[in-house]
Amino acid sequence: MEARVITTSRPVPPADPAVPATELAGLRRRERIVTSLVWLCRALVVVVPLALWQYLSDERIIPRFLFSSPEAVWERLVEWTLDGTILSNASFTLMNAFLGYFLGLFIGVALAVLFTVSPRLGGIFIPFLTMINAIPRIAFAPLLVAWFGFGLASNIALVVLVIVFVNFFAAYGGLSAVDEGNLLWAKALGASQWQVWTTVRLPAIGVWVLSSLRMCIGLALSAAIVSEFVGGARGIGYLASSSTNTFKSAGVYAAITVTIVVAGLLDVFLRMAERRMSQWSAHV
Amino acid sequence: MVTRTDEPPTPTAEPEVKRAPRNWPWQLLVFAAFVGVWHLGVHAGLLSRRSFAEPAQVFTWMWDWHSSGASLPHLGFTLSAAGMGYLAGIVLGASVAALFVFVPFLGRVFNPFMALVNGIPKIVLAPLLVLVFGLGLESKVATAALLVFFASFFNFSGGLRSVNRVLIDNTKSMGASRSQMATSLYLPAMVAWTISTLRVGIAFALLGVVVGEFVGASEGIGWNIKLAGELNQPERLLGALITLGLVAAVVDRVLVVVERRFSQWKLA
Repeated sequence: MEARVITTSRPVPPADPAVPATELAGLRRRERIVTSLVWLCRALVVVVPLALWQYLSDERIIPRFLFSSPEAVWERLVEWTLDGTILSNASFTLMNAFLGYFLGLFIGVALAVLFTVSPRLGGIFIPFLTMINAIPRIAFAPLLVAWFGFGLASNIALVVLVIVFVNFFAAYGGLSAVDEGNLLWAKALGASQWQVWTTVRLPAIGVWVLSSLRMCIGLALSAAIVSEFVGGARGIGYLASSSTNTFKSAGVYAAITVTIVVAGLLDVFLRMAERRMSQWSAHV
Repeated sequence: MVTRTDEPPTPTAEPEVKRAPRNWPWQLLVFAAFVGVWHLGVHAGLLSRRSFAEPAQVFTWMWDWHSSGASLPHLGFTLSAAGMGYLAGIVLGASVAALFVFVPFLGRVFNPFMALVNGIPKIVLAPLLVLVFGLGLESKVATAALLVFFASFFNFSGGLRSVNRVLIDNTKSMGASRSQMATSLYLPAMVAWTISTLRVGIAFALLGVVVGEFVGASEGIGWNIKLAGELNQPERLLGALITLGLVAAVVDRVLVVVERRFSQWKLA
């Protein structure tokens, strides 16, 4: 078909409309078969390992105290759902992640604005921030536990510490990259400093903040979970690490399953929100 | 934002930049003030000695730890675990990415799973890996490899998919074999992606090892940090944390230099 398009300059009626039509139908059928095959394989990817896991632990080929079994994990999940363990721990971790995210976002953007308004301060302080940024910030968890104690305060502090730097560097970069032309236009049109900020500079950060929301929430969740490993009294991470310490392997797998479900749902939700917002940000 | 491309290249003789104000005296002052306040705070008892140590104590502890050689096994443990996990993760991630791109059927089957995993904090698997692989080096290597694997996988599959479709079709129609396409099209296109993966990966590797050490270990820098927190030894906690920061900074510097060296290869 392609050859025909290239060699003719005038529209030619298809010589035999029946052939391409059946060809197309054949292609469609083939595509349908492949698609169903793909779905079959996806189902197998889930079912076969689970079945194998159950079989191996039933036959005691793999040690149960390490690997548990799907059945035991399921029982633990049901138990946790009924007694409210999942709800209270998952909501605790999510709350930490979100509180920390918003606090970190606020501080990060505020610092970026401050250092943009006063490049002198920026020149002095930004090298320090870059230095701290080079340390894996999640490693601060034990320090924050020592400072803020077990539980809520130290968990949120770690999330803030992780999020502040990401958002500061992005917002500062965004502010520095604001199109000079737009700034000149705004000034030429008589915009005040305040108007320049609200109409040109802050929207430039806003777009970035929205586009990085999903990544940052993921980071915030990671930080919240690690903080619970180290100094938690509640939360998903605490469930996982305390089950490890007491060798309750079913609990470890159950806690991981809860994380996958909660974080997966959150991710899907944020993806949808992102799609909505990208329509909005296209206009900025 | 519109970027204008029709502008003439900037003239080589750039206008003299205004002499930048010197920052370093101020930075020295800020640093001195920070250390001074810290010292006085601890000295005067405003900051609890259980969670804060005087700056001098931290420095002395670090000096002793490193000069006596006591730090060596810990540095070796953390760095070798991170190095092994890093290599394994990068290689596995790149191979699986290539497999999924060049065998589209496999890609179609597994991509939804990968997207799901991408959205969850993989670090939650650290306790499981410690449970399965034990308190030793293996579990730290596994945690690092896990984090690096996904970073590498997503980076490389993004890179492989971004190879110009027109170039692929052209090389094919000119009769390039699979190996020729790999060496003359995919490899050069992947250089920039590889370099960015290498740099991101090292941060993930260190992170994975340190978190693995937090969850369960008997040596390593992260283990020192965690243990010091539990034993209320703030000078040890801060000293080990600063050591980790220095190690991370040095490794990152090395990779920046490598990045600069190879980024000249980037395709225009």
